[in-house]
Amino acid sequence: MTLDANQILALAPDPASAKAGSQLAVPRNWSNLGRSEAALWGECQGSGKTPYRTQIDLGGPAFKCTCPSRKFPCKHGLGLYLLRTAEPALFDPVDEPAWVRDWLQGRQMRQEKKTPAEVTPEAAVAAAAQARKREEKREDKVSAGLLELQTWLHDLAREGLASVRSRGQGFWDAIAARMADAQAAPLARRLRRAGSLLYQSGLRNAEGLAANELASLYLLAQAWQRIDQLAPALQADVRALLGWTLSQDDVLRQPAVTDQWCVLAQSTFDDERLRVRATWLLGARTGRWALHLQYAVGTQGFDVQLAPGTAFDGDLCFYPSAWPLRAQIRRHGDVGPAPADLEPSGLDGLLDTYADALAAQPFLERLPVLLGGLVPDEADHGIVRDAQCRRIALHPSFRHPLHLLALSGGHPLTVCGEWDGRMLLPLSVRHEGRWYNIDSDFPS
Amino acid sequence: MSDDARQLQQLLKIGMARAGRPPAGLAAPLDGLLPADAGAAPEATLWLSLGALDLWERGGFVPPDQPAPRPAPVAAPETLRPCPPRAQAVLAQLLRGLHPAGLEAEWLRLLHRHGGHLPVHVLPKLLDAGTRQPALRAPLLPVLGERGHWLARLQREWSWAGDDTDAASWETGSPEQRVAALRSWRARDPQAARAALAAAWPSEPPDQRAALLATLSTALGPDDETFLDAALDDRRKEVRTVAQRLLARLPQSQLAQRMVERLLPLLRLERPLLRAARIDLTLPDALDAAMRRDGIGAAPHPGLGEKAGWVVDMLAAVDPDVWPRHFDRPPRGCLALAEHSEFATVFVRGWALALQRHAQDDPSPRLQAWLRDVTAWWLAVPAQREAVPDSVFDVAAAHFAQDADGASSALFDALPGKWIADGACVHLLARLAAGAADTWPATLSRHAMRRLYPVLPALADTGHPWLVRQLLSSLALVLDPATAAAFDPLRVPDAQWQSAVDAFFDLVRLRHEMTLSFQETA
Repeated sequence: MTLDANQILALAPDPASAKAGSQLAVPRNWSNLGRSEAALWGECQGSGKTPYRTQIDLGGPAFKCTCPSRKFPCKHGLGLYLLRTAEPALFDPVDEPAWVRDWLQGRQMRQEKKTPAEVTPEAAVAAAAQARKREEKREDKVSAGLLELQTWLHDLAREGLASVRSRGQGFWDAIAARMADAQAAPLARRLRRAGSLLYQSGLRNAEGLAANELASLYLLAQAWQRIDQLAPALQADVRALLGWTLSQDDVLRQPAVTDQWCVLAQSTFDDERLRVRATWLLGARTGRWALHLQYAVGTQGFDVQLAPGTAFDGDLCFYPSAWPLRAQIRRHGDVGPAPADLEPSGLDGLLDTYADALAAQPFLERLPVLLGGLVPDEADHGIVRDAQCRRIALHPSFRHPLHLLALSGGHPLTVCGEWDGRMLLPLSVRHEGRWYNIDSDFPS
Repeated sequence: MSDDARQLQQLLKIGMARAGRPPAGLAAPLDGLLPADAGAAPEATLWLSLGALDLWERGGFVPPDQPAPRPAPVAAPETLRPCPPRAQAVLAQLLRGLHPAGLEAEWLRLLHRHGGHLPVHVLPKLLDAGTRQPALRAPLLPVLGERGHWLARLQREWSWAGDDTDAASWETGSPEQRVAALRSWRARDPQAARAALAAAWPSEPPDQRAALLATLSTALGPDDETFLDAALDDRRKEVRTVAQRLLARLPQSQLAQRMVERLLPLLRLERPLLRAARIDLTLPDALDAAMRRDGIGAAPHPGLGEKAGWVVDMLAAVDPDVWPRHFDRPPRGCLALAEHSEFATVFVRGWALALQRHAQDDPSPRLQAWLRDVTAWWLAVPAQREAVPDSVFDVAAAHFAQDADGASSALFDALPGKWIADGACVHLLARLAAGAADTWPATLSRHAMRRLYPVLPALADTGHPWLVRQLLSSLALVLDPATAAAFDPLRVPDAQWQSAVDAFFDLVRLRHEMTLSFQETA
């Protein structure tokens, strides 16, 4: 399958590449264009003497180019793909030249090899002993850090949020830095965020939101103190929330779930020095949700290209959790359009599922959902109504109520979003068989 | 949020030290979670209670009971055709700013010609664009479709695209909205709109009267004369000027008649033996109160004597179409008469100003002929170019694409061989291209390309590179894309100019693709 121009531009690592790519999508720049079932290729005259060889594996899509750019995909890859959508007639179906065939075969082989590496028993034992030592040291540090956090929160309870207000963001940054030293980086991030909620968000109930967030941190600290009494799956959640990470290999060793995975929503945001791309996948047959996270530094692109509105046959391995959502892709098979008959749920189903999820994993913040029958309210742009006219509040960070209204025209819509127990954050909308991904299709 | 949660949050805000009390125990059924006798610190109890209540409320959330609202009107089904997918893809790239600006309006006109309506997901963005750039509104309105008009009601700034609410915005809108409302009211019902303005006139703030009065230029007719004539005595000069100009545009108005009566005795057609015919002008003696009231001598004309300036004012107030009839020759003949006169500047400037005022809202063929003849005269008589005020070419540009009689095309044919070396000429052509309201027709484009194409290799030597670049970029936006794309892209000797020439052909090609994207069956 080939993507449309919008989906291709969404693959660009930054707006400059998107622009440069579209400017390259004119025939003048290209020679030796060709296509096969699996791939597109062409040669692009750059500033050097020899033209760059650009190729695209349509199955991924995956890009390769001989240019020295470290952006990925580079402007030549984007330009080649855009040229194909603009002027399909320029690409004759011919035999793949050797440089294309070799690359495709190499990709195929790496794909097959992507099962975790085997290790010898002795090496495993030695590594495990070393890891255990490191682990104990880290656990001690985290324990000490969390005791400090509890003391800090006790002080805060006595003094009151109102009286620490005058101390500014620095007050929050200090305890956050302490948590970073204690190797509990996620806590540092959440504390800084709680502080900026009070000072910068301008939300009406900012203090209430900060109070709930801090209480949740307090519960987490308590859970850590008696982690041995928790079920193993929930232990994994607590450890993940405190900053323990699993290696990709460890995740890929988990049993896989095979399904047709629909790419329903995607958002890209900055998290300190990293760019994060969060993609929600829904299994068409199992109805399971999966969150796929990718990280990139600087102008680097993301390695796996998942275009909203498409679906792929594949195997996902979930991170261990009492309510598993985050997953890695073990096998990324054929890509096609997302099926049109995905069954959305109603509000009652969502509320039941959310209650079940919280009972299993009380630290869960947001749950993905595909909600049907939603009509955006004409007068109050902060809510939508379900089929029974019940009000569903939209998250204050949602900036596109008028786009929802435009797509709806007063008729019901199907929305994919995140539910936090009180409010819905729409991430994508299905309209007349097409998925509109809010982050990329409606840039603000 | 429950009262319990609110009280706990309040306690956290004040602080337990200042409140002087521990948190109240959780109500049933959560009371078993934190037994009061466990000896826990009250601070811990506060945090744990907050956490437990938050989970309890999120887990058991039910949407608040709300009376069902009045059923809202649903957008009607579209009657126009949908936008072809490839055209949508082009629009998406335009909206991302990936192409030179200025193509949106052309895309919208192509959609209108296709008989289509905008895809609904771009409506908010384009309504915002139309709010920021009023020039986009005219091409947007016919393609908004049912959904667009339905949506525009929901946002105050989009009221320009909403349904018919002129009367309401006239009553209560901001000054700009009232002017816009009055103008669109004029277009629908000139008499009623004027009556509304006349009724409100005494109470209108003086500084807004001029802008309001100017809306009468829409659908101006003989019935407006009485009201305008009264405004000639307004205390504000701006209001008087508007009234004078509008009255001058009514050929049967008393003001226009007065002007002709003042002018005719001053003019005499001379036909000297063996020399070209010319107009002789006798300057008026004095400026009386009646002349002043009609706007004569209101502002000086730089470079002209005072009395000559009065004649310019009189000429500017007379429909230019009077003169071909009076002298019994076409506009270019009138210009030739003026050219040989001692007062050539007076005549040409007066006629050009009159054209600028009259032709703005009146695309009648007679005035078009005048515009083209003034432009051709300007090109042909470089020595007297200063007589023509620059702004008349903006009016000429707006109507330049009407080429039914081939006069616009002929302008290109008449260019001298070395036209590219004439900076003022390059500037004029760029201005005609930049001011166009729509794409030039194929014939006109072909005539333009035939003159442009041979000079492309020599662009480096013109001596006014900036003007030439402006001409290239304006022409790339206005030429008929199919006609221009039929010319092969050129290699030129100079690398810097190569990029400008490439940009020209790329843009032409892009516009050609854009046109084709509407022709594919959806």
